[in-house]
Amino acid sequence: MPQTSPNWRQADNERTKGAVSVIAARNWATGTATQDWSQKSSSSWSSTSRRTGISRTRTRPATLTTEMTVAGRAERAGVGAPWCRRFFHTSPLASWLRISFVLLVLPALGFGIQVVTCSNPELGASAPDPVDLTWGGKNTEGQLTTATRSTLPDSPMTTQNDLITTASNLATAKKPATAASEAVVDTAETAETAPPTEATSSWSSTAVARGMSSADGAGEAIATSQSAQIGLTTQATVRQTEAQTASTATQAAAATSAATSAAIASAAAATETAAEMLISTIYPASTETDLHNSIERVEGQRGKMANAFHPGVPDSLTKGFSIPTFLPPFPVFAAADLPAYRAAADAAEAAKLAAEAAAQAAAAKTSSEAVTMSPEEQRRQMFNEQHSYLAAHRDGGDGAGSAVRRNLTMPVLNITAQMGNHAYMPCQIHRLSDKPVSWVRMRDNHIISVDETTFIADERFQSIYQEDHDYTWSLQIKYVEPSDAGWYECQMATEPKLSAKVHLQIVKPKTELIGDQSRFVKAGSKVALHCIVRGTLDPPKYIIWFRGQKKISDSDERTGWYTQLDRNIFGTVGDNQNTIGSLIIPLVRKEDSGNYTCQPSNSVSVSVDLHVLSGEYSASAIMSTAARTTKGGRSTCHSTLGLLGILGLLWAMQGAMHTPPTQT
Amino acid sequence: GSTQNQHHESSSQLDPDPEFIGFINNVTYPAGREAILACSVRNLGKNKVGWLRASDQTVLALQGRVVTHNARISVMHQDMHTWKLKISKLRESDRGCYMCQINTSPMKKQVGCIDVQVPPDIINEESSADLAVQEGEDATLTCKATGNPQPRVTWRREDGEMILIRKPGSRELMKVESYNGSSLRLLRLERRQMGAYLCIASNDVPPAVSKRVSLSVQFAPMVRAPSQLLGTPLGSDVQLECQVEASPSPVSYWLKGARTSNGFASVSTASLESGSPGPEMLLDGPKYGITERRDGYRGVMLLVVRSFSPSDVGTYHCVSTNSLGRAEGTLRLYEIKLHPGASASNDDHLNYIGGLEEAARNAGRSNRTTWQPLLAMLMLLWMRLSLRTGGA
Repeated sequence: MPQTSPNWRQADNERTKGAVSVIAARNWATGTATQDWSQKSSSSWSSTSRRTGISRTRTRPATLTTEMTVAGRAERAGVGAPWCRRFFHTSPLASWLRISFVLLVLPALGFGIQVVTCSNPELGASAPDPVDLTWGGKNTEGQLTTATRSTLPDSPMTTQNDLITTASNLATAKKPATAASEAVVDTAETAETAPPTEATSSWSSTAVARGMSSADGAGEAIATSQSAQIGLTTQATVRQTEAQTASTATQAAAATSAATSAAIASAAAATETAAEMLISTIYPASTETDLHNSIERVEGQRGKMANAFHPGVPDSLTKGFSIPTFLPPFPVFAAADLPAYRAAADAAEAAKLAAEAAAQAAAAKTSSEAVTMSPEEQRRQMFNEQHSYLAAHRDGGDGAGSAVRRNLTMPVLNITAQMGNHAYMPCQIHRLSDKPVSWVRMRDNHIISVDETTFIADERFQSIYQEDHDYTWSLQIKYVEPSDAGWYECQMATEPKLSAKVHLQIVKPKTELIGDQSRFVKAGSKVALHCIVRGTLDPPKYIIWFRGQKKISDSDERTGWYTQLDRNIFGTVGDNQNTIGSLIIPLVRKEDSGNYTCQPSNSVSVSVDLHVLSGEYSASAIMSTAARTTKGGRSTCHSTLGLLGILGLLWAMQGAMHTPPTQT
Repeated sequence: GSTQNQHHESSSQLDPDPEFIGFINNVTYPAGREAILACSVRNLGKNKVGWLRASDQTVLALQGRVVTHNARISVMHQDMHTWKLKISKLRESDRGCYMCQINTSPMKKQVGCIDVQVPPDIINEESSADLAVQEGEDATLTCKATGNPQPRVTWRREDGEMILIRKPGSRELMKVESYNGSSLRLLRLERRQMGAYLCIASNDVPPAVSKRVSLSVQFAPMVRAPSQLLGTPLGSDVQLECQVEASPSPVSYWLKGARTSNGFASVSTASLESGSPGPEMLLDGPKYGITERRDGYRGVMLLVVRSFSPSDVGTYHCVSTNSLGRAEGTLRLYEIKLHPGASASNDDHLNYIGGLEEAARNAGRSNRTTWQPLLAMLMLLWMRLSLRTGGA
């Protein structure tokens, strides 16, 4: 029985390996395709790990086999290493064998002596123990040393087996037990187990026979044992070599068949096969909440892409894309490898770009339209939108969100008023709603009015209701002052509020004097005084001249003085207007010296001092010249000619002033 | 001139100017509550009191009349001097300052402010989702929260363990129970830092809020076999154990048999034909019981060999592999022989078993001394036989 241990192990290994081989054979094509698929993406490892970690079902062997196949192929390049390692270890093992041989002789001799006595049956039963241990170890190690030795024939064992009857009976007694156990395990293995048994029997009997007869028996026994060992080892080595050859041939055949089947199959079929394998190896559902959530998120993200790339098989592909977020999905690579899918992807990309271009064009058009609209048109459009909004939310008290509120904000309205006049600021909110309208001065957050009720103490402010106008509750400020300038806001008390801002600007007229503050003229000259009023929205109705406290009439027949009012001089008609007021004194006398004041109706006054000088010797010449000039001036009635006359007089005066020193 | 003087004297004597009594108290309330601002005025006379929201100049009330259409705003004028503005069901948008005005010339005004407290809330778009990072890399867990007052962000581990934080530029890991800050920076991650982290936002306004962030540290498998040499008598059950550390979860299996020169290549149809010994994959069934337990990134692989028989003697490999690598451990199984029916002396049997134990210990040291136990056993057998022969 103990002598059959190695055979028993072999039988068990072979049966188990058979089962594994069957699984491997069944999945060989699948393994090949899976390997090709895994080369494009490393997700197979993770998906396989996850599946195995989640469920331990009967499908595990198939997956494990596939993985082992892949690993085996990866290790094919390193086949040479073990050979080098084997030869390196031969030397120490050889020395070990010598020691073993020496030790083996002693137990063998002891065993022979006991057999000769035959007085203790128990000792005989325990005798095979050392043989079993020694035989097993030697068999394993012997395989490594056979390559360097030659094979010897087995004929001597058969010849010596017939010499002693007692030894033959002992061998026969062992055979039935061995045969029975082998029959139970595997009947087909009987032939392989017979040679080791016979070798052992012959070896024992030979040793006993030679030991009794002569001293050379020991030498023959050693030779016989060596022969037996060599024979067994040779057989084992041959089987191993055959195994390697068969394995290599099988792999080559499998690779060839895989290549052929790959060539025959079409691209679409290969894609479907890969997808199906992916589906069969991945379990989307999981008992773990986190994993399930992450899987769902991934499916949501990849769903659109999957539908775009694989419209033919949406169900299976959707199910197969339960891949962790940190690994790229398989379909992307598949699409890249197939011309049809690449064309589809390019078309999708082109469509996307076209859509983006169209969106940009639309945005540009919208912005250009917005820029083109004038403020008035914007205001009108916003007014209409407010109308729609208020009509839709007539009954809703709390109104809409901030988005709608932002859209309904009216553009800023600019109002310009002249100091002293009245300012009217309309409230640009539709009158559809019956909610209160409030006015607030934003400078100091002063409440001005709520509908017709005035809150501010300043009585110049008043809220005016206009029936016949689109806007209601305009704010009126009488006799505006410069401090009234700033921002005002009218509010409609919705939630959130509707508001319109008005910016009030105050213009202040300015009166200036044309010429010097003090004027010096010769008696008998013609004098013209001018003042100008700038920066007015409304021109002054009148400009009054005063001499001291006495008002000068517009036209005096006795003295010949007259005043003149010219509008729109040196100014733009639309904006500010300039007005010039003039006082004309045809013939000035010494007693006409004094202070003259220009007083516009809507601006401050300015004054000028007039000094009239007298000179006797030149007086007659100047008077004659003045008289001549006066006639021309009256006839033309043009201020330009008058101005030229004045210049002539000045020139003459300068000439006259140089003459008196000569006469003196 | 005289008319104006008379008017001025009469007004100063008859109607004193209105003035405020005290100040408007600032208030702080949680959202949903009711806020009241009180404005007390003396000598109001013919003047009026108005309420206005200072932030956007919205007119709220004029005297006792509520102007705004906001239903949550109301005015109370219970006693002669006090005008109260009441805002119920406070919202965050109600936060700000409110102005009480008296329409004197110039205007007199007082301002009172309302602060609305808001419970904390975590912004999911600006916070980290679950992370998967390889060992040795850096990871930053971010958690943004809103609320009034501004919430404090605290990180803790969900399982109550200490958070391991590495100082920048240092190799050591500090253990902290919690970490304050919206960004938790973990440098050169280790597998011990794997787990679920909780981001807790609190600002003293109940309820506090938390968010769970799962951090997965990934590394190649590591396999360790605690007992590499096991002996058992025939017919008994023996358990082989391997400890595995791996993330993501690995695929684990058992192989039996010595590694041949072809490695995995021998596991194919050729093995059946050749009959040469190669590593075989063990399957769960009547002969082998295969189980695996996992706790986080740690796990234990168990192989139970039932009814131990001589064919079970040999080398076993536990293999674990995931997307980042592969690892395996090796165990050897041998037979322990017992002789219950022998009539020899007890001393010899004890010596026999003792020798086996000594051989087992020696075998575990290194592979180069594998032949020594066999040599020792042979010497023992020879001595025993020699003694017995001498006795006879």
